[in-house]
Amino acid sequence: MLRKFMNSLRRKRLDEEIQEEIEFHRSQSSGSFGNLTAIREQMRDASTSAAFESLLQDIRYGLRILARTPGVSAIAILSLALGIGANAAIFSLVDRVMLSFLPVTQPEQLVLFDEVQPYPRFKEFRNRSQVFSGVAGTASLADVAFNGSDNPENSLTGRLVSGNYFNVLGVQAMMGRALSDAEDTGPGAHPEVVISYALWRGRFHADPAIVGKTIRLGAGRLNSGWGSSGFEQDQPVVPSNRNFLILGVMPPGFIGETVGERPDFWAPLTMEEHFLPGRHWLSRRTARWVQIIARLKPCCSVGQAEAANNILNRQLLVEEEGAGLSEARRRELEQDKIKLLDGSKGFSGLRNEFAKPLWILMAMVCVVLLIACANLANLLLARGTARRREIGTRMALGVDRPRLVRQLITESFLLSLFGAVLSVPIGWLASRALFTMVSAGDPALALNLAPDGRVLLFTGAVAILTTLLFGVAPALRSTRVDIHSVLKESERSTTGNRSRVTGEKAVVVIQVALSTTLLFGMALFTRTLYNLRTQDLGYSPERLTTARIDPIGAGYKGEQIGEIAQRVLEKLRTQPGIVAASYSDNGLFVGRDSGTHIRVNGFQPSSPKDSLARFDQVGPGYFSTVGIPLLLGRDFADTDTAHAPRVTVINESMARFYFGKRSPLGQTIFYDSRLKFTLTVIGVAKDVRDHLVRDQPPRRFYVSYMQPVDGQMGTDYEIRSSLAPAVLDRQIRQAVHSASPRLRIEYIRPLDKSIDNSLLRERLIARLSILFGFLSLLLGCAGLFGIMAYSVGRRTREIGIRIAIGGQPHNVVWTVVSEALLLVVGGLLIGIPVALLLSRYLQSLLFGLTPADGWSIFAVIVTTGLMTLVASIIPARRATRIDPVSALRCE
Amino acid sequence: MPRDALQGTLDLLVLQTLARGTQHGYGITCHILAASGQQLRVEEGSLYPALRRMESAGLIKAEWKQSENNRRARYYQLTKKGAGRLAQEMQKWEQHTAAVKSFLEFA
Repeated sequence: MLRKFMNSLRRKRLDEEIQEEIEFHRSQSSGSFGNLTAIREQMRDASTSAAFESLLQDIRYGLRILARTPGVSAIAILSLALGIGANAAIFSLVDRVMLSFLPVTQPEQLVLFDEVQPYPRFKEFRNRSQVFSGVAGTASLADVAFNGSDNPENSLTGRLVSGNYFNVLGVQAMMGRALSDAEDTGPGAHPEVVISYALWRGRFHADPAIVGKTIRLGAGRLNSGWGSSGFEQDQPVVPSNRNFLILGVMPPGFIGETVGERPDFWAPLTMEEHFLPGRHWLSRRTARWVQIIARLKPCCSVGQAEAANNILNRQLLVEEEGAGLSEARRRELEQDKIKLLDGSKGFSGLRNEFAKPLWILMAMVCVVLLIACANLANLLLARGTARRREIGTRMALGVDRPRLVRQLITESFLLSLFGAVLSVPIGWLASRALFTMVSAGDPALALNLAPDGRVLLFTGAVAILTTLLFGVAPALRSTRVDIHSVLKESERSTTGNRSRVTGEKAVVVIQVALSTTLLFGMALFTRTLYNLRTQDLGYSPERLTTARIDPIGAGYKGEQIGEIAQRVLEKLRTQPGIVAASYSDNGLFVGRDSGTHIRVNGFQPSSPKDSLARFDQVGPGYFSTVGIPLLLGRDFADTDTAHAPRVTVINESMARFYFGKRSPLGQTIFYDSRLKFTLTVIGVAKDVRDHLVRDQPPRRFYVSYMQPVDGQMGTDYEIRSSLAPAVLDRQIRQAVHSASPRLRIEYIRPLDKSIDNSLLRERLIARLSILFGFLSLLLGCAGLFGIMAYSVGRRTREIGIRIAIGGQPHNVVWTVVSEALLLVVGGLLIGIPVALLLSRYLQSLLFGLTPADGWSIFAVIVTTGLMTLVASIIPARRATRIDPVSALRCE
Repeated sequence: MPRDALQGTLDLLVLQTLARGTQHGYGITCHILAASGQQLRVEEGSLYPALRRMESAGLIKAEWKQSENNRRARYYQLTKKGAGRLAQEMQKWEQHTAAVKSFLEFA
């Protein structure tokens, strides 16, 4: 109201000024002034404020036009909002995972070592490296007990970092101070932490006096990367909670260097013993667990730094081996090279795994937006045709074409603007849904997907782009009218002028083609997920639950680990409802898989890879509990104790690979390239998939938990039971607690869930492609419906005549449906070859089908056919109800 | 003078007039008429829209002031940008007339 008032005031003042100027001129001269009104008009147009005025006028007029057909406008805005919102959501994911730089000083100087290193070696790198201005070490902690609570819901994630970590990254604390070299002095000497902004807000209610207070932290587990812990457990350890002094709070943007993690706190690496009790990794040269991040000196390129770093690495390795290094071993060490990865966007295993899927999803969601744009373009084209008379009249009255085009584009822009505004909440909701989807995995991904400036900027850019896409062509075409013919023709009499609809029809054909490619992608990804999910594992994953305990963390060492594992197992087996139970070192589908070099008599490896085999250390009854059939020989028995000869069960692949047609039973396998143990084969088990669904089962051998060849990292129980999850959960906790109250349960999880977690990527693509597929179907349906309804409307007279001379309803229906079918077939003919061409790039993401999957093509055709029927049946029915009398009379 | 022929040179005439000092619309027509020896008569219908246009383009700026006979008049003044444009237009005009002249002499 006020704006309107201001506008009219501004215009009035301009008019008055012009009037006064003319008055002055006339008072001075005697001559005539010519056409006063025309001059006034021209003067007004030439004034600056008038240009603004006309823009406002366009906007007002545009709003009126949109409001005149509220239903159509609402659908247009909504479909745009869906398209833009979905784009924004996927973009926010792409942005966080792929594009965002770390919020640190000069991120482009940061590099990451491609492999985790032992702590002693990290120290050497830090002290001796010449090419870096700083070398920092870090390790990720999960499930750290907080405030003395063992409840996993209440646990924290954290990072152990070297004292120079924040210095190397170039990040300051928001309050207090960050960790520094002063906290790097000795093992266990500095129970001090820096906490994250989120933790400070969430758990400490943004306490302004937080610095100097304490936080109570217990033990945790290493999140990713795993070391071989070795055997010796020198001293008894008891996990405890301990007060940590809070030195500072980090700024809100800082989440560390690993994409997909949000640590709650950062503690000195030297506090390892507290968080990972009993491992003694600070002094162990064989335990690889420290991720190294380094800052290049400004003068060094990554290539130079890598070369220099590898020289140092070799030097360190040779020094560690000490005297008596064999020539063969020396050559082996030469092979140990460290690659430096670009650290500017942080470290992310995510990025490798999700790069391709994310770009594909981004492309798919762009196609959805294109389809939405096509709908809008059609809407505007149709509206332009309906407004031919209005436009013709305005042009006849002397409005020039650029002005009209500008006005029509303003209308389109208004649609985009509303769409973009509405897309922000839609995008936000979609991001939230995406977040719940990606954070269900293991390890959980913590990404902040809330829309920020970048996403809003992206949304704005997309909105402008869409305006250009759907607005310009219709605006140009609508204003290209022949004034005379337009003014002469009466609106209804346009009987058979079909050429005028070709633009609209072409758009529909393109739309169908676009949605065909999306539907094809959806079919491929859905079938891939189905194939993976129904892949025969070799055993039934149903009713199988896994649970992991941490005996080392509870202070058990050496042989005690086996004993406590056995005691828990006995307690589990006595619980009612538990059909069978056993345990193993690596568990099933939890992302940990041991491997080693082996040697077999009579087998000549042609490459080092040939001597690699996976292995697991399993408890009694493992094969029968999981349901792995033994094909030859026997299972481990109670007699295979620590003091009995070492025995092993190997899988089919291993038997075939090393022994061929020979019977493997009784043969000897040498564990480790240094021939640490000899194992006698006592059985052959069926190949099963126990860590990856996608890959062929690798060569694998099993040893008894009583005869460990490697330190036990934790103990995973496999439990077969048909109890309800909540009940089973309680029983497992009870059993573990009764075996030892000190034992911490790291997790209890149905195997199905673990398998789903391992398929996070595939599930994400499949779900989103289904969503996009249906969205495109819906939009395509709306587009086709619109054009058919419009076409029937235009052909009212023709259809009326046909009915009048005795045309049957089914003939009329067929006329309409066949018209729609023709468009759809055209779309399919373009879309399917394009889809087949594109699907070749999806090969690596598919499973159990080829990119030219016949069933998927079939599904696309059927779905699109159904869409055609749905979209054309209502206009067709309406056509049959045309009253011939009124249709003819309306002339 | 026919309006069409004047169109291209109107800006030049106005800018050159204002280069001598501020002036109101009527004063501009008078000056052009007088300085051209009564040859160039600028029509009001062309002048005023042109003034508005040049004002929008930032070549001149306007201000309401008292005129010689104590009436309020809109005075126009050349801006820096306008001065630059004037130099350009003059050069263009000279090139143009020189070209036409040499053509006429040759033919």
